[in-house]
Amino acid sequence: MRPHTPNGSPPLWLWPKLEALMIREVHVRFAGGAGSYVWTFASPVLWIALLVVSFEWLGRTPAILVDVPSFVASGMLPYVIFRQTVTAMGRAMSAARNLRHLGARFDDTLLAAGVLELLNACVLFALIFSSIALIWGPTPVDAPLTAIGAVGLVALLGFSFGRLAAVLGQVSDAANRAIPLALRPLFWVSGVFFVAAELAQPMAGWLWWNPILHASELLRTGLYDSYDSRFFDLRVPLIASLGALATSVGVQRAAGYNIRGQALA
Amino acid sequence: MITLTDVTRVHASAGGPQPILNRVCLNIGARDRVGVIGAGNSGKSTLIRLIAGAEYPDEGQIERTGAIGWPLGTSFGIHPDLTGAENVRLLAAIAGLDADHAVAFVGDFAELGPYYHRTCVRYSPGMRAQLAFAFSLVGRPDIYLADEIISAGDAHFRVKCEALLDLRLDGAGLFLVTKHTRSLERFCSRFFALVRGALLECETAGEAADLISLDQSGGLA
Repeated sequence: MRPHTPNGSPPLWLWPKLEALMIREVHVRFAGGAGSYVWTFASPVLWIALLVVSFEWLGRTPAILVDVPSFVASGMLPYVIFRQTVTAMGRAMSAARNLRHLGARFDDTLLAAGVLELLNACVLFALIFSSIALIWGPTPVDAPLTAIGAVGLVALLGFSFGRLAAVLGQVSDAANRAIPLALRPLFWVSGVFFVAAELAQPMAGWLWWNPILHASELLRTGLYDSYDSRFFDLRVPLIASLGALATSVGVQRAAGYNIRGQALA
Repeated sequence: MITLTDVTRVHASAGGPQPILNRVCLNIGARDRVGVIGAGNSGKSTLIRLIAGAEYPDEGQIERTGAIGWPLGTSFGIHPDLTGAENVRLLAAIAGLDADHAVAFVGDFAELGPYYHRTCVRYSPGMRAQLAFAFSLVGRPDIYLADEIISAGDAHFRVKCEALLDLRLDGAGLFLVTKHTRSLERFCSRFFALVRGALLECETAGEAADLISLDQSGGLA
């Protein structure tokens, strides 16, 4: 037996600890039965189906030459990945606060939640596009690495803003309640059912500041040979991510403790 | 080895900052058995959390060398929808313990029978306490921590817990905080009273308890 204790707790990058935190997080989600975890994947699929029906019903066609389900899915995925990552990281902090005495630090829990959400994002991506390919026929991917980069970019955005939301939620109950409300408008402004090329000024100028819209534009550029976004600017999501990360570290250091008196380290 | 130097901890309260610990100094050697007695809400658990590293002092320093355990019998982290064995496997991995050994050790020690492989939501409070206490004895820290709990379960199981703890303490130290003199006398050789945020060293557990009583009756200047 290795005589480890919290002080000898292994660094998080050693797989067993990260894996244990992720498995535990999955079980926390299973608390309401297996359906509660299935909902992680079913909810975006249902939203996409609903939007596809809405497009058909309104007689709307996508601004680029692709089928409606694929267009809606490519807009919905960045938004869903971002939102689920932010929500999951805040929730993981509450669920794992009792593991601190075993050596699970604030950052361990956040990293485990972030990696789990990245894995979920990959599963969701594969699930949705393989389903679309099976039902409506396969669409060739124009630039797979660009598409993968877009998923990575939105995961980075989710992790950065998720970390900020988790830190703010730990130091303020008001922030904890406000963050889910603040995320809601993103559905309408993140390119779920439009592309940036459709936007007129000044709307395009305003939405240029939305980093998720840039990730969505990059994903569509990577997926479809009929679309090459001129709106996409890598600086926006990168600077937004770094800004959110830096702010979260600043708040974490300035506050020192959460509202339960636990160290934010 | 644990060294506290001028450790101060202040908790926020509706009436403003409330000092919990005030310039506390303490040395705990690798084989010391240190017991602290204090009244309810006097800062005993805060002291344990600071030593365990779950809280940081507002002022002063805490140095820890060697492996420090987590409070004995702590049931935090046991997930009701996992089986006892699954909980032990995951918690052991998080704590950096050998998960296979932990599952085997707790299965053998906790006396849960077939319930060990059933979800913890079916456990009685006593069974949950036995699982938690057995898990806290998986590791072999240089210094054990105890926040009131020094054993668990029914009389037979308590004797078993204390016997194993005695064995483990042959090669390790103990830092115990409690409201009761019995466990202090049974397990400790150095005694302190925690009074108004200060640690006062005493010759015996009885003397420490008397100091607490005196303070509560308003007799301590």
